[in-house]
Amino acid sequence: MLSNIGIYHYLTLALILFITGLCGVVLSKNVIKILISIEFMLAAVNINFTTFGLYCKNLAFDGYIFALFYIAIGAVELAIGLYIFYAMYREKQTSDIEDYGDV
Amino acid sequence: MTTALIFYPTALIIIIFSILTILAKKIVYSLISAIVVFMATGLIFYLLGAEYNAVIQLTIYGIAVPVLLAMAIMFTDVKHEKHAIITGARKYVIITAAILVIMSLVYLAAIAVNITPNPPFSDANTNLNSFRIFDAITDGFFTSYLAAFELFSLLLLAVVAGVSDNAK
Repeated sequence: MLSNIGIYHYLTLALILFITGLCGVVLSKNVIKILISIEFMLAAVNINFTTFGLYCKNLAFDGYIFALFYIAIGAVELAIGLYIFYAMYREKQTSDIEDYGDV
Repeated sequence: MTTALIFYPTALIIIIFSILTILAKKIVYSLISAIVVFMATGLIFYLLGAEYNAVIQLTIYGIAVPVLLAMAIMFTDVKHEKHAIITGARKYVIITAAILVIMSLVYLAAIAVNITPNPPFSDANTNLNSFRIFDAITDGFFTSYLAAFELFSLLLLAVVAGVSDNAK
Protein backbone atom coordinates (compact mmCIF):
# COMPACT_ATOMS: atom_id res chain seq x y z
CA MET A 1 0.00 0.00 0.00
CA LEU A 2 1.37 3.42 -0.92
CA SER A 3 2.10 5.83 1.90
CA ASN A 4 0.95 9.42 2.07
CA ILE A 5 3.25 11.95 0.47
CA GLY A 6 5.41 13.89 2.91
CA ILE A 7 8.31 16.29 2.85
CA TYR A 8 10.92 13.55 2.34
CA HIS A 9 9.30 12.37 -0.88
CA TYR A 10 9.67 15.78 -2.46
CA LEU A 11 13.18 16.31 -1.09
CA THR A 12 14.33 12.92 -2.39
CA LEU A 13 12.91 13.66 -5.82
CA ALA A 14 14.64 17.04 -5.82
CA LEU A 15 17.91 15.38 -4.79
CA ILE A 16 17.71 12.89 -7.66
CA LEU A 17 16.90 15.66 -10.14
CA PHE A 18 19.79 17.78 -8.83
CA ILE A 19 22.26 14.90 -9.10
CA THR A 20 21.06 14.14 -12.63
CA GLY A 21 21.61 17.77 -13.57
CA LEU A 22 25.06 17.71 -11.98
CA CYS A 23 25.95 14.58 -13.95
CA GLY A 24 24.73 16.31 -17.11
CA VAL A 25 26.99 19.30 -16.46
CA VAL A 26 29.98 17.08 -15.78
CA LEU A 27 29.41 14.55 -18.56
CA SER A 28 28.06 16.54 -21.50
CA LYS A 29 30.28 18.16 -24.06
CA ASN A 30 27.49 20.03 -25.80
CA VAL A 31 26.92 23.53 -24.44
CA ILE A 32 23.14 23.40 -24.94
CA LYS A 33 22.91 20.14 -23.04
CA ILE A 34 24.95 21.66 -20.22
CA LEU A 35 22.54 24.61 -20.07
CA ILE A 36 19.57 22.21 -19.93
CA SER A 37 21.28 20.32 -17.09
CA ILE A 38 21.78 23.57 -15.17
CA GLU A 39 18.05 24.21 -15.59
CA PHE A 40 17.39 20.77 -14.05
CA MET A 41 19.44 21.78 -11.03
CA LEU A 42 17.48 25.03 -10.78
CA ALA A 43 14.20 23.09 -10.98
CA ALA A 44 15.39 20.81 -8.16
CA VAL A 45 16.21 23.81 -5.99
CA ASN A 46 12.79 25.26 -6.79
CA ILE A 47 11.11 22.05 -5.64
CA ASN A 48 13.07 22.33 -2.38
CA PHE A 49 12.04 25.97 -1.89
CA THR A 50 8.39 25.18 -2.51
CA THR A 51 8.48 22.09 -0.28
CA PHE A 52 9.96 23.99 2.64
CA GLY A 53 7.50 26.80 1.97
CA LEU A 54 4.66 24.31 2.37
CA TYR A 55 5.90 22.21 5.27
CA CYS A 56 7.75 24.69 7.48
CA LYS A 57 5.43 27.03 9.31
CA ASN A 58 8.01 29.71 10.05
CA LEU A 59 8.72 30.16 6.34
CA ALA A 60 5.05 30.70 5.47
CA PHE A 61 4.94 31.62 1.76
CA ASP A 62 8.52 32.85 1.48
CA GLY A 63 9.57 29.61 -0.19
CA TYR A 64 7.03 30.17 -2.95
CA ILE A 65 8.26 33.70 -3.54
CA PHE A 66 11.91 32.62 -3.61
CA ALA A 67 10.98 29.93 -6.11
CA LEU A 68 9.39 32.54 -8.37
CA PHE A 69 12.51 34.72 -8.19
CA TYR A 70 14.59 31.67 -8.95
CA ILE A 71 12.51 30.72 -11.99
CA ALA A 72 13.01 34.21 -13.39
CA ILE A 73 16.74 34.17 -12.59
CA GLY A 74 16.99 30.79 -14.35
CA ALA A 75 15.40 32.24 -17.47
CA VAL A 76 17.79 35.21 -17.42
CA GLU A 77 20.76 32.90 -16.90
CA LEU A 78 19.68 30.79 -19.85
CA ALA A 79 19.28 33.83 -22.09
CA ILE A 80 22.75 35.11 -21.21
CA GLY A 81 24.24 31.62 -21.48
CA LEU A 82 22.76 31.12 -24.93
CA TYR A 83 24.00 34.52 -26.05
CA ILE A 84 27.54 33.73 -24.88
CA PHE A 85 27.29 30.34 -26.59
CA TYR A 86 26.16 31.93 -29.84
CA ALA A 87 28.98 34.47 -29.70
CA MET A 88 31.52 31.69 -29.15
CA TYR A 89 29.91 29.53 -31.83
CA ARG A 90 30.42 32.30 -34.37
CA GLU A 91 34.07 32.29 -33.39
CA LYS A 92 34.66 28.51 -33.36
CA GLN A 93 31.82 26.94 -35.41
CA THR A 94 31.45 24.12 -32.88
CA SER A 95 29.29 23.40 -29.85
CA ASP A 96 31.89 21.24 -28.11
CA ILE A 97 32.75 22.80 -24.75
CA GLU A 98 36.34 21.58 -24.92
CA ASP A 99 37.02 23.66 -28.02
CA TYR A 100 36.15 26.82 -26.11
CA GLY A 101 39.11 26.51 -23.74
CA ASP A 102 41.12 29.27 -25.34
CA VAL A 103 38.26 31.77 -25.75
CA MET B 1 -3.96 8.93 -1.49
CA THR B 2 -4.80 10.83 -4.67
CA THR B 3 -1.63 12.84 -4.19
CA ALA B 4 0.37 9.62 -3.94
CA LEU B 5 -1.21 8.28 -7.12
CA ILE B 6 -0.17 11.42 -8.97
CA PHE B 7 3.19 11.91 -7.26
CA TYR B 8 4.81 8.53 -7.95
CA PRO B 9 4.18 8.40 -11.73
CA THR B 10 5.22 12.04 -12.03
CA ALA B 11 8.41 11.39 -10.06
CA LEU B 12 9.15 8.39 -12.24
CA ILE B 13 8.62 10.46 -15.39
CA ILE B 14 10.94 13.19 -14.06
CA ILE B 15 13.69 10.71 -13.19
CA ILE B 16 13.48 8.71 -16.44
CA PHE B 17 13.27 11.70 -18.77
CA SER B 18 16.01 13.64 -16.99
CA ILE B 19 18.34 10.67 -17.47
CA LEU B 20 17.20 10.38 -21.11
CA THR B 21 18.02 14.06 -21.59
CA ILE B 22 21.62 13.43 -20.64
CA LEU B 23 22.00 10.15 -22.51
CA ALA B 24 20.33 11.16 -25.79
CA LYS B 25 22.72 11.38 -28.72
CA LYS B 26 20.67 13.90 -30.68
CA ILE B 27 20.30 17.27 -29.03
CA VAL B 28 16.69 17.62 -30.24
CA TYR B 29 15.73 14.47 -28.34
CA SER B 30 17.43 15.92 -25.28
CA LEU B 31 15.32 19.04 -25.64
CA ILE B 32 12.08 17.07 -25.99
CA SER B 33 12.91 15.02 -22.87
CA ALA B 34 13.76 18.21 -21.02
CA ILE B 35 10.35 19.68 -21.91
CA VAL B 36 8.69 16.62 -20.36
CA VAL B 37 10.77 17.08 -17.20
CA PHE B 38 9.87 20.78 -16.94
CA MET B 39 6.16 20.04 -17.44
CA ALA B 40 6.22 17.28 -14.83
CA THR B 41 8.00 19.63 -12.42
CA GLY B 42 5.08 22.02 -12.89
CA LEU B 43 2.76 19.21 -11.80
CA ILE B 44 4.91 18.67 -8.70
CA PHE B 45 4.49 22.37 -7.87
CA TYR B 46 0.75 21.93 -8.23
CA LEU B 47 0.84 18.98 -5.84
CA LEU B 48 2.73 21.17 -3.40
CA GLY B 49 -0.15 23.63 -3.44
CA ALA B 50 1.74 26.24 -5.43
CA GLU B 51 -0.58 26.76 -8.39
CA TYR B 52 0.97 30.09 -9.28
CA ASN B 53 4.46 28.58 -9.38
CA ALA B 54 3.11 25.72 -11.50
CA VAL B 55 1.66 28.13 -14.04
CA ILE B 56 4.88 30.14 -14.16
CA GLN B 57 6.90 26.94 -14.51
CA LEU B 58 4.74 25.74 -17.41
CA THR B 59 4.79 29.05 -19.25
CA ILE B 60 8.48 29.85 -18.81
CA TYR B 61 10.13 26.42 -18.73
CA GLY B 62 7.48 24.55 -20.67
CA ILE B 63 7.13 27.04 -23.52
CA ALA B 64 9.53 29.99 -23.52
CA VAL B 65 12.78 28.24 -22.62
CA PRO B 66 12.30 25.34 -25.10
CA VAL B 67 11.58 27.85 -27.88
CA LEU B 68 14.80 29.69 -27.00
CA LEU B 69 16.76 26.45 -26.94
CA ALA B 70 15.18 25.21 -30.18
CA MET B 71 16.14 28.46 -31.89
CA ALA B 72 19.69 28.10 -30.60
CA ILE B 73 19.83 24.56 -31.99
CA MET B 74 18.47 25.73 -35.36
CA PHE B 75 20.84 28.69 -35.63
CA THR B 76 23.93 26.76 -34.68
CA ASP B 77 23.32 23.56 -36.65
CA VAL B 78 24.08 21.39 -33.61
CA LYS B 79 22.91 17.86 -34.31
CA HIS B 80 25.01 15.24 -32.62
CA GLU B 81 27.15 15.18 -29.55
CA LYS B 82 30.59 13.66 -29.58
CA HIS B 83 31.10 10.71 -27.29
CA ALA B 84 32.23 11.94 -23.88
CA ILE B 85 35.25 10.21 -22.42
CA ILE B 86 34.94 9.83 -18.65
CA THR B 87 38.36 10.18 -17.08
CA GLY B 88 40.01 11.62 -13.97
CA ALA B 89 37.85 13.63 -11.57
CA ARG B 90 34.78 13.14 -13.78
CA LYS B 91 34.83 9.44 -13.05
CA TYR B 92 34.66 10.00 -9.27
CA VAL B 93 31.84 12.52 -9.66
CA ILE B 94 29.85 10.03 -11.71
CA ILE B 95 30.46 7.16 -9.27
CA THR B 96 29.44 9.32 -6.28
CA ALA B 97 26.38 10.59 -8.15
CA ALA B 98 25.34 7.07 -9.14
CA ILE B 99 25.64 5.85 -5.53
CA LEU B 100 23.60 8.84 -4.31
CA VAL B 101 20.89 8.31 -6.93
CA ILE B 102 20.61 4.60 -6.12
CA MET B 103 20.43 5.31 -2.37
CA SER B 104 17.79 8.00 -2.99
CA LEU B 105 15.73 5.64 -5.14
CA VAL B 106 15.93 2.92 -2.48
CA TYR B 107 14.89 5.43 0.18
CA LEU B 108 12.02 6.70 -1.99
CA ALA B 109 10.85 3.13 -2.56
CA ALA B 110 11.15 2.36 1.17
CA ILE B 111 9.06 5.33 2.26
CA ALA B 112 6.60 4.65 -0.56
CA VAL B 113 5.70 1.23 0.80
CA ASN B 114 5.89 2.29 4.46
CA ILE B 115 8.97 0.24 5.35
CA THR B 116 10.55 3.15 7.23
CA PRO B 117 8.81 4.59 10.30
CA ASN B 118 6.75 7.71 9.76
CA PRO B 119 9.19 10.59 9.44
CA PRO B 120 8.49 13.97 10.99
CA PHE B 121 6.84 16.59 8.75
CA SER B 122 4.74 13.90 7.13
CA ASP B 123 1.76 16.23 6.95
CA ALA B 124 1.66 19.73 5.56
CA ASN B 125 1.37 22.33 8.30
CA THR B 126 -0.45 24.89 6.27
CA ASN B 127 -3.92 24.60 4.89
CA LEU B 128 -3.59 26.11 1.45
CA ASN B 129 -5.98 27.64 -0.96
CA SER B 130 -5.23 29.56 -4.11
CA PHE B 131 -6.59 32.88 -2.89
CA ARG B 132 -4.28 32.87 0.12
CA ILE B 133 -1.32 32.05 -2.11
CA PHE B 134 -2.00 34.85 -4.58
CA ASP B 135 -2.54 37.22 -1.71
CA ALA B 136 0.66 36.15 0.03
CA ILE B 137 2.74 36.31 -3.15
CA THR B 138 1.59 39.76 -4.16
CA ASP B 139 1.97 40.91 -0.57
CA GLY B 140 5.50 39.46 -0.48
CA PHE B 141 6.53 41.04 -3.78
CA PHE B 142 5.35 44.51 -2.88
CA THR B 143 6.23 44.65 0.83
CA SER B 144 8.86 42.25 2.21
CA TYR B 145 10.77 41.68 -1.02
CA LEU B 146 10.22 45.00 -2.76
CA ALA B 147 13.95 45.77 -3.00
CA ALA B 148 14.68 42.33 -4.48
CA PHE B 149 11.78 42.74 -6.90
CA GLU B 150 13.07 46.11 -8.10
CA LEU B 151 16.63 44.83 -8.36
CA PHE B 152 15.41 41.93 -10.41
CA SER B 153 13.50 44.28 -12.70
CA LEU B 154 16.75 46.19 -13.26
CA LEU B 155 18.56 42.92 -14.00
CA LEU B 156 15.95 41.97 -16.60
CA LEU B 157 16.18 45.44 -18.15
CA ALA B 158 19.97 45.17 -18.32
CA VAL B 159 19.74 41.76 -19.99
CA VAL B 160 17.21 42.96 -22.56
CA ALA B 161 19.25 46.10 -23.29
CA GLY B 162 22.52 44.17 -23.46
CA VAL B 163 21.26 41.44 -25.74
CA SER B 164 19.42 43.81 -28.08
CA ASP B 165 22.46 46.09 -28.27
CA ASN B 166 24.79 43.20 -29.09
CA ALA B 167 22.37 41.67 -31.58
CA LYS B 168 22.77 44.61 -33.95
